Amino acid sequence: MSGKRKRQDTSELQNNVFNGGREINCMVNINTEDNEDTSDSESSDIDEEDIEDVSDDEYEEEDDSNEADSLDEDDTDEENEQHQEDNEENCDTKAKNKQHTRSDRDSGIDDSPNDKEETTEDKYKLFKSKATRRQISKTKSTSDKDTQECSQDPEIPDEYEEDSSDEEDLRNTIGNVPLKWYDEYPHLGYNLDGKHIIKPKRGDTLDNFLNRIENPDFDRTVFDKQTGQDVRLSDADLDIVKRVMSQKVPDASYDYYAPWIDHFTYEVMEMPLSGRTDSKKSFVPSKDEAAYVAKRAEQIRRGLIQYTHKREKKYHFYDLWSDKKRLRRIHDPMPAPKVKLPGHWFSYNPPREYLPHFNKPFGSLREVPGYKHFIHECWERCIDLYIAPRKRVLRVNASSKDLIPVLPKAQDLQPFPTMEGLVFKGHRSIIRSISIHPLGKFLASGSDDQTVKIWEISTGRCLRSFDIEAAVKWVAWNPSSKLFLLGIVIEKKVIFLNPETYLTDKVVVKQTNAVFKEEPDQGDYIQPERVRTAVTWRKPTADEWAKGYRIVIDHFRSVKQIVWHKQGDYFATVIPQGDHRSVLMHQLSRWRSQVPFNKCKGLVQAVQFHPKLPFLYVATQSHIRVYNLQKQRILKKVQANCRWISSIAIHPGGEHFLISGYDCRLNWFEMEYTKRPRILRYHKAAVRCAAYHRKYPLFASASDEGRVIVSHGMVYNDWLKDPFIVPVKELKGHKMFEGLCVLDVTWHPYEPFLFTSGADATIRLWH
Amino acid sequence: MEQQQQQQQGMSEDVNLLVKFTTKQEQYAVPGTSVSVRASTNPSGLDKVIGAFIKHDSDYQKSLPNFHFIVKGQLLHGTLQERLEECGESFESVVEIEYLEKQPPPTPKDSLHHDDWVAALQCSDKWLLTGCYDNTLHLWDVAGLAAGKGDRAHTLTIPAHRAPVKAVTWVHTDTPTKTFISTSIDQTAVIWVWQSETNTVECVSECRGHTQSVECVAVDHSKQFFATGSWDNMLKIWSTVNKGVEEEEEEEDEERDLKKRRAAKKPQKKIPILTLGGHTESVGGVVWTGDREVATASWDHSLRVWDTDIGGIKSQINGNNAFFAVAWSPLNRLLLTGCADRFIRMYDPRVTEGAVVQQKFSSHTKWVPSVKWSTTKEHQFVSGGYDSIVKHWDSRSPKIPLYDLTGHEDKVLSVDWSHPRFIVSGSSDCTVKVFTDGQP
Repeated sequence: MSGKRKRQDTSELQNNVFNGGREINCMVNINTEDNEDTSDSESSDIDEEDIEDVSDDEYEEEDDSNEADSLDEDDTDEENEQHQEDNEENCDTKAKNKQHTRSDRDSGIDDSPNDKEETTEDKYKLFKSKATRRQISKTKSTSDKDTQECSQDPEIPDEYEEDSSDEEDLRNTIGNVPLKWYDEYPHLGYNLDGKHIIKPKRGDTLDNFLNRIENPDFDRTVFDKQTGQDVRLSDADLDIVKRVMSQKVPDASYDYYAPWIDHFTYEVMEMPLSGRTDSKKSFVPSKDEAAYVAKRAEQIRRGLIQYTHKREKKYHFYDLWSDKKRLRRIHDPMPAPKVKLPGHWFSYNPPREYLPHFNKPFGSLREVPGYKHFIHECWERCIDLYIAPRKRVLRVNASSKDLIPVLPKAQDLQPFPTMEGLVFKGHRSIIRSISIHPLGKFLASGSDDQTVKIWEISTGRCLRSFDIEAAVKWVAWNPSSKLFLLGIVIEKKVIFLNPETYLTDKVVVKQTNAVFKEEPDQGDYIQPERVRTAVTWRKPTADEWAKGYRIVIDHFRSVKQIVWHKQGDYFATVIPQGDHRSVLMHQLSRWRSQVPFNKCKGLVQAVQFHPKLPFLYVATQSHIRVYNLQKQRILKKVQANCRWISSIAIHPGGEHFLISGYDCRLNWFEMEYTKRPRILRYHKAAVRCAAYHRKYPLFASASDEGRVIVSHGMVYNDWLKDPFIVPVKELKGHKMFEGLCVLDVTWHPYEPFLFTSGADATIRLWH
Repeated sequence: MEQQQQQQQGMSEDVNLLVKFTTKQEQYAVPGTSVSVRASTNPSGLDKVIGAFIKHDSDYQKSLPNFHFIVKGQLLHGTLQERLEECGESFESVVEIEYLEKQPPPTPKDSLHHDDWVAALQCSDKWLLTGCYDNTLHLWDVAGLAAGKGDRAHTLTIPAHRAPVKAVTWVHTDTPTKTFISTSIDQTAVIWVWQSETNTVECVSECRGHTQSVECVAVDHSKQFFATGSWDNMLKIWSTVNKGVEEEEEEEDEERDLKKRRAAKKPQKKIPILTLGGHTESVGGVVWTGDREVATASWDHSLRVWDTDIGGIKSQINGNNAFFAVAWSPLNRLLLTGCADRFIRMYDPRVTEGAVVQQKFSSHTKWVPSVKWSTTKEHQFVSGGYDSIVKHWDSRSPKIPLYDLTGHEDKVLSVDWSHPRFIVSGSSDCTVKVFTDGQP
């Protein structure tokens, strides 16, 4: 035992010495009375007594047990004195062992062996009284204890109070040895005085039986091996047993529903409960912060920082009811009548506003008629389930990224133009149109500076320049290899020019000249009135011939475009303001013209020949009409999905065509399925023109924003396979001029070179 | 030692390498012992090492030049480490470094003004021949150029053609009677005889046969034949020798005055010995690769070697781009081509399958219309690009040229290095720039 405990013991001892006598007397009284009176009187007796000290209380309790012990040896008459003596004598030891008595007191030792003659009833009475008294005293003592503790020193709890570290039954001092060692002896151990504890005489089976019948406490009596005695369990014991059995907290006073104090709460506490001492560092002021504060202070002092506190905007809501005065106007306001709560009746009589056609209220549920379609609907549903059973559809778990097709790398799609190769400089104004000679050596360009220039592609050298009397709107080389002829459009005229010398085979040049020297014999052919008023073919004058002109065709209104048929004999001209004579077909070899269409709906923007078949594509503002020229009938009318078409380009395969529009979009059509074109929204400004490469799967489109976009457009022979379109390169280089930038794009006939003509009077080659 | 090196490699990036210096220039030879050098050494670092080496081992007293270092077949520009990593070589074996004296850079010597774009030029030992877009040929005195006389070195202007001149070449330059050929867009090639002493020129014969512009011309080694390539996709072989007077055709009026101007004597009309068709697009460059062998570069993405004896194709190499120019060197028997994609590619005409491109030289930013090998140095060549820069290359340095020769203000159309001392280039800024090659 620790020293502290010893000290406490001595103090208890002193207490005992001072108060013991009176208490013992009282106890004796109680004991004596116990046999005769009811426990009530006894308890009242005890109530009168004020037990002042905890130790006293315990001491008193201990007395009980000692008393029981003493009963073993002495008669009840002598009990008092005996007890007193014992008390005095064993003062020390008892005080020492006060902790252990607690267990004794609970177990409650049954009557002494000498009392075996006593009736069980007496025993029971005695026991009961003892038990009750003990209980009461215990409660008393605890309450006292509390008060005392509070008064004396509430903060320091007695940590040894509840100590049960070495609880032993000290009435039998044999220690923790097997009891069977004493089986052969009449005693079963030794008491504190070293005397034998004689085994109590156990009754035989008959006694046992009688005991069972007669003893009402039989079911609460247990055999204590240590002392060899039957122990009757008190109510408190039973209660504890019951609690343990039903898996409750053994302590009856435990409050299940006490307010919970969450010591380790998730809430951030202002002063967290942490036993940790603050680090040394936390006491050292931060230099960084000091420097920052100093800097800021300096800045504020200098006026570099001005704090303008933003005032939080407070929304003021007008509280109607806060104004008591206002309410005061109504004197003695009467509350609105309370609406009756909806009851059962409402279940079949909904409020009127919900059922406007329902006019008859039902008196009771009984009167509500059945739903007349009920059976029918049930039947329908059954049929539905039977005929069309539900199928579990697996939802496709695809993210939006998976749906985007995988684009190939641009390197895999080479060759395509990527950079500027050459700049053709020489024009002085906007270059409206460019055309490349089919052999791929020369480039012709027509400009607003009233010249047509012919360039050498490999070096960018202007080889020839022709002065034309007006701004050139369109140039187009004759695709035939037998003629060396450039078609030029100026205002109302179409001029055919032979650039002549040395640019191509002399034989071809000569042949071209020879062809146009003589006007062909028209024979019986009489030009219709409608054509004659529109077109006049004429031979150039001598001056014009010297300039290179070979034929001049005058139109009735200004011409926009000239398009060659692939064989180079036929060509078409477009006159946008020509009303019903917007498109004219001409035959070069016979100097003949014709108006193929009786009517032209809308303004014709562009025409184009099919590269293989005798088809003509005519693009008006928002429609494309495809005509079969041989059969002389319309083949297809396509809604262009475009507000204003700027140009049309036809794929060399002939199955696809490209429409560029002034509404910034590019539409890729398939001839077989024109309903839904592929819309390419690459551009942010009006798309001027688009062009397909003749050999490579490439196409380019130019827009007014100054960008030329080169795309890879692969077309497959398999009709079911969609064309594969990937934009591959954006080419920028031309400068803006008067809101115009790139005006024409053309591909080289066999190399992946792109030519663009711009408003900045340059032509650029991209390779 | 190896372990030590490995440890060092693990510890830091800077590794020591064992290198062995070799050279073909005997005056700078050093004993063939291997030396430990840091991997991060660059050429200037190696210069110091080799300088110390040479001075230590020999009695070389003169001031040492700078050197080029060839590591694994390529000139070293960065550090040794980078080069070895590029080759995927280990750092443990002994690296053999060949060094050679660095040449001084070519110096711009002269600028010759012309009236129009200079499309073609070739330098002989004494005379420079240039062809212009204004249909004229010009002769310049090389000695005058060397003296820096500039335009005063101009000797003769010949109104040669009816259309821009596209190619020129010297034939005979030994005797005072010199011969040269010019070709033009006017679809002819003309053989000229020039008496240098009297400074008179005579049109000997006019070669007709091409139906389009004649783009290129090359004379064979025996000076008996020349080949022309044209836009009409044909390669034609002609003889330089005149064989008697042929019948004259009737001439057109427009040609008559020109004839009068050319010479009193009417030029002989020539027809080709051989016409080789096969290219599908125009022939951009032609070069003789042997006595009876012509190589052509065409816009149809192919290089072809023709046998003039058989009159057929010997081999064909396909490329990815149109070829503009081709050059061949008898020293290393390799073809150089200028392409439509700003790269110069080196081909071996004997290799026609697999990786046919032996080397790709990338430094030009635009098309390269002309390349020429050096006639004396096995590994060196020049190229002129539309980016207006003439580049002086070593074939062992594919990324970085030795020198950029700037000065032109517009597209360089042709370069020539026939005279070992002079690099000349003609441009669309109407000038010819003359650079003297650094080596005296």
